[in-house]
Amino acid sequence: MKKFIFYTLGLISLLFLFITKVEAVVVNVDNMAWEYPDKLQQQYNKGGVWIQSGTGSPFNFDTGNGQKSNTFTIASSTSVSWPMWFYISPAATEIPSTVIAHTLNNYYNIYPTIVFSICATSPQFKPIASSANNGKIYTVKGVQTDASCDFYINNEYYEASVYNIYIDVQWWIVNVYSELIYVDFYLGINNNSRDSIGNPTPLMFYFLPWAEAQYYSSYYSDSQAWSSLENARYTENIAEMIQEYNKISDQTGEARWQKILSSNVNSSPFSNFFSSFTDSNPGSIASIVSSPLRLVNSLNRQCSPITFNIFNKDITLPCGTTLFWGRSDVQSFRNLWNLLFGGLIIYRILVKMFKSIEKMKDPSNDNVEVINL
Amino acid sequence: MIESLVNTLLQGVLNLVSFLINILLTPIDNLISTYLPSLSNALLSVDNLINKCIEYIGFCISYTGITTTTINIIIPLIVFLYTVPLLVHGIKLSIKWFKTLRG
Repeated sequence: MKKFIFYTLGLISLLFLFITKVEAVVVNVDNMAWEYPDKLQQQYNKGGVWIQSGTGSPFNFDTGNGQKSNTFTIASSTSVSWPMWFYISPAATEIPSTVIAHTLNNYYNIYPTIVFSICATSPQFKPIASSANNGKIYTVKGVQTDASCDFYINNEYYEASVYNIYIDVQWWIVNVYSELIYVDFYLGINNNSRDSIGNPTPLMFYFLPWAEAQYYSSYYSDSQAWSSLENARYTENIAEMIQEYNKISDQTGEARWQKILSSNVNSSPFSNFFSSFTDSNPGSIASIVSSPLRLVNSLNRQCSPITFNIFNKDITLPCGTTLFWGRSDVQSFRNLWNLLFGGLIIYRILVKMFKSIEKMKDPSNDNVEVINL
Repeated sequence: MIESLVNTLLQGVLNLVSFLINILLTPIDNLISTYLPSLSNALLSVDNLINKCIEYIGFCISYTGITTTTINIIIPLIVFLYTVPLLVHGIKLSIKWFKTLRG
């Protein structure tokens, strides 16, 4: 009976998944669909949420002449040399816009003016960024607001249009407005940062769309940057960081950034749990014996879309979060689903655990005379 | 506080299990790698396969719809389930050896 319920729930899950997005189960890497266009549209209808310009945030965003004037010049950032990622907090009417940045090399005194827009070959989306590390060369030409921004990727021509960037309040990270856009976004960066001796410092900005951070990671070879992003995958962490930033927003400079950098970014109690349990001898029996524990350790690993190449075409299997579970309109169902499906799993584990404990308690199975010791 | 305590306790258990596994199996591994290199290669292949499976587990879980909150509840239960009995049996075995040696 329990098996029946278990598998029935599993089938229902799959059914929902395939009914809603069956056509997107196998998609080309260029056809990645965005998850929350509706939410973004709602925000836009409310008056929009836009990145605050001015000096109130660690980054001085220059939005040009305001929301409608997002005609951004795509500044060259091809000489980036050190990675950086940033969050843009919800900037709805009740929450002021803030930008939280975290430099991986602890360099905190950065005040770049960045302007950015989205160039999308609608209805597709994938990140495009000037990166010196990922081996791809992106060239953008003729970018204007509400205009085409056709571009080349590795000498391949793409027709695209400029889209605005808005912030999804509920999903806490910058999102891109447009119906299933997604194509390529690029950052135009007017980089006026300086290093400690006043020389211009090249920057690399990583956009961090929430659910797809790992997806983007496939575009970057800098594992250090993305392993750091791993630590920020929990909603709570983002919220904590934003709260932390808001608390100390009256501080400036080094103190502010040191506070942010020292904040408890990773609150997962299991993050370091297996740190001492390393596979020191791969391929050994010990490694194989301990593989169940490694498996457990990886249960909370963030999903990474599977990409493979067939007939010289990149095929990507997107994560379930991208296809279905990450959509805002299924969150209530997801909660119910977790209650049922997750609860059942936990129940089974607990039953097994109690049985195991019973076995340990069984006198006939325990010949140890502890009292003699 | 309790979470920290449990975490520390489980971590200690895990370290001990890891230590025991390594102590017990290292000589066997050395023997295999020295005298049975082909078997060693086969074990390496198995290990690679396991690692490949582990690599995609996040992908599979994303399709189940289980949230990180639920997973974070499940993980310590599984850890407890698989480590504590092993530890208990290890202790039993140690006591048995001790008693045997003591005569």
